[in-house]
Amino acid sequence: MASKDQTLPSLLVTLLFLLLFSALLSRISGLESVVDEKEKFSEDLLIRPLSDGKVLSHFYFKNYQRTLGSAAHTHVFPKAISQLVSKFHISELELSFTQGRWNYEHWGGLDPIASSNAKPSGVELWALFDVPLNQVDPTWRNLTHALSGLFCASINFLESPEGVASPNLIFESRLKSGADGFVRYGALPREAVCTENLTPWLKLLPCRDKAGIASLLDRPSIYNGHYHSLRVHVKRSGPERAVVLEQTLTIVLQPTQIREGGMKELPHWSLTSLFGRQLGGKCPVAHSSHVLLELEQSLVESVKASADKTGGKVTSGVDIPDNSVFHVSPYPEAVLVESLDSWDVPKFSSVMLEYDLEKYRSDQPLNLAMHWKQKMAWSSVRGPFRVSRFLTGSGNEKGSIAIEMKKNFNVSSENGDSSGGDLLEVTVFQMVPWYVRLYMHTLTARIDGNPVPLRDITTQMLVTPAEDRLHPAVLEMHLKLPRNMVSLSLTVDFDKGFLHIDEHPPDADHGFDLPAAFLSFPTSQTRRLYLNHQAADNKDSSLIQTLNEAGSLYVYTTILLVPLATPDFSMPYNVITFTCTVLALYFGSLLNTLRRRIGEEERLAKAGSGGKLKKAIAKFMEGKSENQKKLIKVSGVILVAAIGVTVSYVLEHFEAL
Amino acid sequence: MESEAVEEKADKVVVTLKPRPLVRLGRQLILHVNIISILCYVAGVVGILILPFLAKNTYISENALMPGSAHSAFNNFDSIYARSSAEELLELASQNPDVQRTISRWIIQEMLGVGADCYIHPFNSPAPAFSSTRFPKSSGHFKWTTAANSSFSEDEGQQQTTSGVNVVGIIRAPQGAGNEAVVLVTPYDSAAFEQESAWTLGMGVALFRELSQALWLARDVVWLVADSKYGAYPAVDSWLKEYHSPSISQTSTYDKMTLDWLEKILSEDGQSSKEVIHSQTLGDFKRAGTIASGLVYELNLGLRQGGKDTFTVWAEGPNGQMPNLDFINIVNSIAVYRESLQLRLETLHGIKNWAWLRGAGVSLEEIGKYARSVNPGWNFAMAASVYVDNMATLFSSMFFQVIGLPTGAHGAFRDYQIDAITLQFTVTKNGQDYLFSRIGRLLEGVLRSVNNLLEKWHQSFFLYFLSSPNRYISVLVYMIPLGLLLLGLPLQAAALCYPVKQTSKDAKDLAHSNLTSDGSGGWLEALVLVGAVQLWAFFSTLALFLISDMDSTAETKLLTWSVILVFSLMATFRVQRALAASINDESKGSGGNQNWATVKAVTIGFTCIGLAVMSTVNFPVSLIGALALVPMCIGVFPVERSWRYAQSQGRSALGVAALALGTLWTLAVSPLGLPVMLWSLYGHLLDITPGNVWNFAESLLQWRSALLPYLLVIHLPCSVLCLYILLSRLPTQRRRQ
Repeated sequence: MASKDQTLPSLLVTLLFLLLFSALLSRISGLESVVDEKEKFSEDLLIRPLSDGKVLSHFYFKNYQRTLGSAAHTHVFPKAISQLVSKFHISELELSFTQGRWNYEHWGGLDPIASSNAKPSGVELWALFDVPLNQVDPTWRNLTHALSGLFCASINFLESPEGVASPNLIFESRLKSGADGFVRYGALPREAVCTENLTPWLKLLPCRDKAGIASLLDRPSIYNGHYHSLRVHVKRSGPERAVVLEQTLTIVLQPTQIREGGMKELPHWSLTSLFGRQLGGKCPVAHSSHVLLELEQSLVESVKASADKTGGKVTSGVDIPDNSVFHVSPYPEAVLVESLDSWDVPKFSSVMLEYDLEKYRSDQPLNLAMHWKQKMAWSSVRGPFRVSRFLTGSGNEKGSIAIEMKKNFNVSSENGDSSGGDLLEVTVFQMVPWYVRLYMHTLTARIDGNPVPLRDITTQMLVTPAEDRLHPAVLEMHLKLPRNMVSLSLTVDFDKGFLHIDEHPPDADHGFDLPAAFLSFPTSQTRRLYLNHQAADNKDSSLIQTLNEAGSLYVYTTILLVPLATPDFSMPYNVITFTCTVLALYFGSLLNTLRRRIGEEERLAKAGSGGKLKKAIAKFMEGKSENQKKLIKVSGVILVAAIGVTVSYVLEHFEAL
Repeated sequence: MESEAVEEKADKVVVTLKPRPLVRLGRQLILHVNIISILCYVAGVVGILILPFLAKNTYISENALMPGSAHSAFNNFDSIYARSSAEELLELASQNPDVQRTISRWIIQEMLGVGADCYIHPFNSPAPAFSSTRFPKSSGHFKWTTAANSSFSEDEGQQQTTSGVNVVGIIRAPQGAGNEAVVLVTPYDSAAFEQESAWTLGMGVALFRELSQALWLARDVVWLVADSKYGAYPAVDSWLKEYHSPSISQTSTYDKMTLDWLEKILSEDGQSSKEVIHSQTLGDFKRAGTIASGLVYELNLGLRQGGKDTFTVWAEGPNGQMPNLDFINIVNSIAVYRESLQLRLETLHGIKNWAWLRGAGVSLEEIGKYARSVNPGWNFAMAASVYVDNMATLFSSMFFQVIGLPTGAHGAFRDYQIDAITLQFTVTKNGQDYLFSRIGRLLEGVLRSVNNLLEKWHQSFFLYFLSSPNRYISVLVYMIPLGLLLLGLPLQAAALCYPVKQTSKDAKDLAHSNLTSDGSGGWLEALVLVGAVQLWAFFSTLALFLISDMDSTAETKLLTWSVILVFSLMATFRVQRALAASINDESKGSGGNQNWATVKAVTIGFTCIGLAVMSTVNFPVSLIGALALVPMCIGVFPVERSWRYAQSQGRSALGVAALALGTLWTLAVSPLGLPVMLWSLYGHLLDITPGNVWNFAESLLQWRSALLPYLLVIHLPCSVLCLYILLSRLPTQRRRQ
């Protein structure tokens, strides 16, 4: 009886719960349909083994909001960003926090990932504003402060116009036509990047790092890498001016697993060994969630060559996830092959292994692992040029900046550049702070070591001369170079300026950083067209869609350190001391000269007058012989000395007590 | 002060008013100028001798360095690796005739193996005149450049390979921005590859491999394997030159040369070599931003000293420029407190046996002991042996700085305002592994400290002498003896200009009276004379420079130069006579003879200014110059006057002795006396032949040593003018009296 009494309410309660739950489920499914219409969030992780044994991980989060209204409610799109966009009339914005350098030679230079995610050290920010010209600078200032607060970084230092440029040529191809407005560009090369920037970045994600791909982000692991770049890219596009927010994190990690062969072997890796965490399913609100493993063309080529050598089946091709060189586990859901255009697949092309995170849960995590079976040498696709920038000269007086471009040997003529005929186009953008005073007339270009008149290779050149403490010198050049050249060098001389003592940053003896120069190659297209032949539905990875888009190649140089003459900062004290001494001496003697009356002194001297003590001594001395006088004087001196010694001795003695 | 004295003196005659104290002080100084200047000189000499007592303990000024605060990752495996690498290298070198190629290839493979950026830097052999540095080396006093230079003479005749090739590896700091770098240099001798070079390279490889794993790097590490076939200095210097001022106009030829070299080095692999060259861009001259510091190290064969493993620090750069004291401090503190290695500073052989130095040490020790017995607080006693050691270190350092040549490859860095030192480790024949790991840990610790440094070296001293590894004498202290030495000169000049007569009648120096009566004429003449001699001195420097380009033997060059010198001096005097005559014609045409006192005053003035200026260029040169020139300037008087004084009734024995000493000193320091003196004193030690002397002068010129300008622009005119004063005749009218 008692048991029956108890079962009935419990049954009721269960029923109630079920009802509620189903209602909730229906609401969620309804919400999903809403998301499909107005907002869309997708997450992707791309992993690529690099030729030097390191592993590139590229986290890609795309957030889409169709309409932007001040009162519009958002489900997954971060409100901070939509407010930012509407308040500052931003057409496009890119902010990056970077630690370390991208190695263009070993990690690739011509693929879309490298081109858009290799950023200069420190902070880089550029924005395109859809406001009238006279409001651009105030809007920029406000934006820097807003971003500074949002990302816990000293981006607000970019408010001062002395570190901000308004480039025209370099963004030409990126902005394309249509988007009109004004660009501002600023960089903080010395900004330190750490978790304080990552946390606010994660806050923009709907699941933060609690679920989905971002849950892999274990701070100690990702900050121990060789490259770490955090990027936020906001763009309004389409006829409805929809906002697209791309958040990427690009890290290059060194797998820690040690093999018997030491450093000369390629290390195995897995997601857990790289990040120390497990990937347990997707972020629930994400529209799509994929993990991708990209194997580059040259690696695939080497693998196939190795398979041929070992006598594998040549005709049917090689099983990419498990072959004689490496083994990838688990087996991918889909294998995508790079193609030149829609159905034309070349013999050797990059391969993308796709894993849909729908199928993985926290009790069944995805632990993507790569196990090398033999040593394999391959190299990433390099850009048409390797670019280096360096300072020449020494000392605190002058020097020159040189940008050197050398043609990469493995770039064949048909690789990557589809248009442009027999000329190579390059746009160079360089921003130099005002205290490095450039002499623009010394700008010389040399092709293969021979000086070339600038007008022969330049199609367009924009120079903004620096103005002290107001704005930096900006040099933009659009060059057309002969295709058969081997090296190009651009040099420009400069004088080193002096800064006021209060203009020096902390640790001024460190030197001053020049922001990275920035080159674009409009004729070299970065595009990897992966076509998914198996699944033609809408659920394709958004990262693959991004990779499929064509874009021109961008390359950054390293930042430079210019040692400037710094004052001895203890000097103000010395100067004050010296000045005071000189002033005291000067005024003392001046006063003395003004005060003294020569006539009066002569009169006094004649009168032979003196002080009372002097008179008393004179009286005492009267009638004494010369020898006695001398004796008295000497004994007086001795007496005084003795008193002094006694006093000092007594003082010392008492101190000791 | 002096001008006031004159005015006041004029007033004094009218009114018997006491002049102002400052003026009285000046008068007293000038009255007792001889005693005071002698006292100052003696005090200066004593000041130099007591420098070790004034030395302070070193301390690490820059907090960011934090030496030894992190555990060193260099372990026994690395030291074993270093040793096995050295053995491998030795075997390779013994098997292959072309050592340079073999070693380079081996190093390139090692560098690429650890994932570093790598490239080669071929450079041409230095100018043949470089051999002139062998002159001081032949003295056997010390090894001039580091180990590698010894092979030069053998290679000179063969001329089979005209250039060397450096191999450079760069570890990119994982989280750094890539705008700063630290350079490690390991010289090896490709012409005579011995155990020492193998050890050095083995240690280099082990350290480089270890550092390539380090995540703590904030600056890139550049490892420069310097081919020291012609000495380590030219190899490092040419690399730094290419790094800082590349010859952009000759890029293509340079690139071609580099590729040729690479082909030659890696040719064993045939076709695959090309791919390696291109895929690793071995031909590119890669840079790593601003160089923050340089560290040269080499392992030498030697014996343990005093039961301790020792190493030597070389720090003197060109013209005595020193690296920041903190650099030496961190090396010392890590070596002593963590690795129990003994840091040594090189001393010239023989200084410790100088009897007078020992005597000074003993007497100073006695004085110290006595002072302590008087007052226990005066605790400055120093054992005589310690004193002699400190003095020997000090003198050796001064000697290296006087010569003005850098003491090793670190000197090349100094030209680009980069602080660098050379560490020379002494390893016994059967190089123990424990010592290798100590050396590795020390180097890693030093590098880590340098890596910690946020700014450039600026905290500690740049102007200092070390009297022992942990005691330094700052500029504040060592300027005092020089100041004291020089103080006598302006006083003497003032005394000659404004002779103050004592109230008693002993002012017999009649020569002075001529000064005040005969206005500007005497001055102008003196200035013309001194100016002409100075011009002649400049001309002689120029002549040396021009003649050094001549294509003939050293002996002929020296002879030509001396002949030019003598003739031009005669011409100078002729011109000066003519000028003086014209001046005299204009100004009433008084006595035709030069007034030696004015000349002396002007000479003293010029010399004093020259020495003071020289002290900022190269302090020890100025110090030695002051020691030699000050007694000459003060003590020189015309022989005729001295003779007359010795004949007169009012003479004193002291005065005669002083005059005799002055005359002798002048003769000894003069361009005629100095070589004779040097030859008689050190002829048995140094190989002094005309050819060697010229080569030495040429090498000074080539190294831009400050010693040469001192000798030619300050010492030479001063001594010539002093000789002139010595031989000058007194005015005739005075002789009549």
